[in-house]
Amino acid sequence: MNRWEDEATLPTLDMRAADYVERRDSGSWTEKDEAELEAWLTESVAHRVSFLRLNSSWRRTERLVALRSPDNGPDASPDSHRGTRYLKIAAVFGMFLGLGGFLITYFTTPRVETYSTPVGGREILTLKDGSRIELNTNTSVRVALSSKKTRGDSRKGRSLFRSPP
Amino acid sequence: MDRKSDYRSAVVAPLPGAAKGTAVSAVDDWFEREILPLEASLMQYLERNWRNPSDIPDFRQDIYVRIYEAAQKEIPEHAGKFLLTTARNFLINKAKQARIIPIQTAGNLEEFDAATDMPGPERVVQGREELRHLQAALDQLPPRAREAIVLRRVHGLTRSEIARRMGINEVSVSRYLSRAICALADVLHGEPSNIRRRP
Repeated sequence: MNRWEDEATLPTLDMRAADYVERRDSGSWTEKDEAELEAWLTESVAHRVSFLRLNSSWRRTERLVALRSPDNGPDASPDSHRGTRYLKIAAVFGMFLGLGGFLITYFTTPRVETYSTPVGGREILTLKDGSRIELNTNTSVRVALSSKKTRGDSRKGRSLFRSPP
Repeated sequence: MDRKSDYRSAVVAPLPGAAKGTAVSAVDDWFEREILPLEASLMQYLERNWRNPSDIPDFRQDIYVRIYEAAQKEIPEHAGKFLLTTARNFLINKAKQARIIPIQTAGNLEEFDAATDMPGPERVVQGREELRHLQAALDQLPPRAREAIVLRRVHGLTRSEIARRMGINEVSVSRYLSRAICALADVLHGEPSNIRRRP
């Protein structure tokens, strides 16, 4: 004979006990709930052993908190996650700022290149921006090419600069 | 955080009924400390000695009730032996009721002794291993129940928060949670899982 007949079946009894276990461990548990649980537990030993058994394994699941990491946090709430989320947003924002800064510097800082001809040599260069430089023999020029302007300095010899057509 | 402190006190607080006398809480403690850790051995014993697996959870429950009632009179000295004697007598009675000649049951005294030596409380694993065990237990849950219990236990959400996130009502949430709690109890008390699974 089963001794938990009032609950019909063991699964039904266990479901009810599990419900008490979980609610008792939440913030919404009241004095009234405790009284109700007490009445239920004293009703039969079957209720009590079921509750004890589920409560004991429930407490073991306490360790599951260790699985919580900022990466697997639920998207909405809880509050404790909000801080790290803002931090993340800030980090991404900062990354973009850094990348932007780099790109701006990269494109605005002129790249300096030196072209030269040996004695007896003669060279006509076409630069990226379309300007042309004619280098006479034994000549050296430094060209600073940025997105906005091109600067050329004659280091030695003779050269002819022509702006883009 | 408020929730955290509530929850701690709830865990430490003795069960209702304990206030009436120390007896109830002493039996509760004993039952939890000495008997529940032997559940794997008990289940193994029952599975080995009873043909119909679907009877076994009910048998376990009945045996626990007997154990608890006996302990209310006097707490047995050797929990393991007492549990297995109770289990054996229970099966013999069941066999008689079912008019099964209890050869199978009576012939297993050696197994008893072996079972008494079975790893019991020492099987309670610690730290990382326990966590791995819990994770494996979670993996065995149905997806929705697992989702609910993870939100509850790992992320500490309330029922209403879980309901909102899962897009279901709170009654369903509590059903998923309860189902998960029952399933986790089977896995955690019945460890290791390779023993639980019958061929």
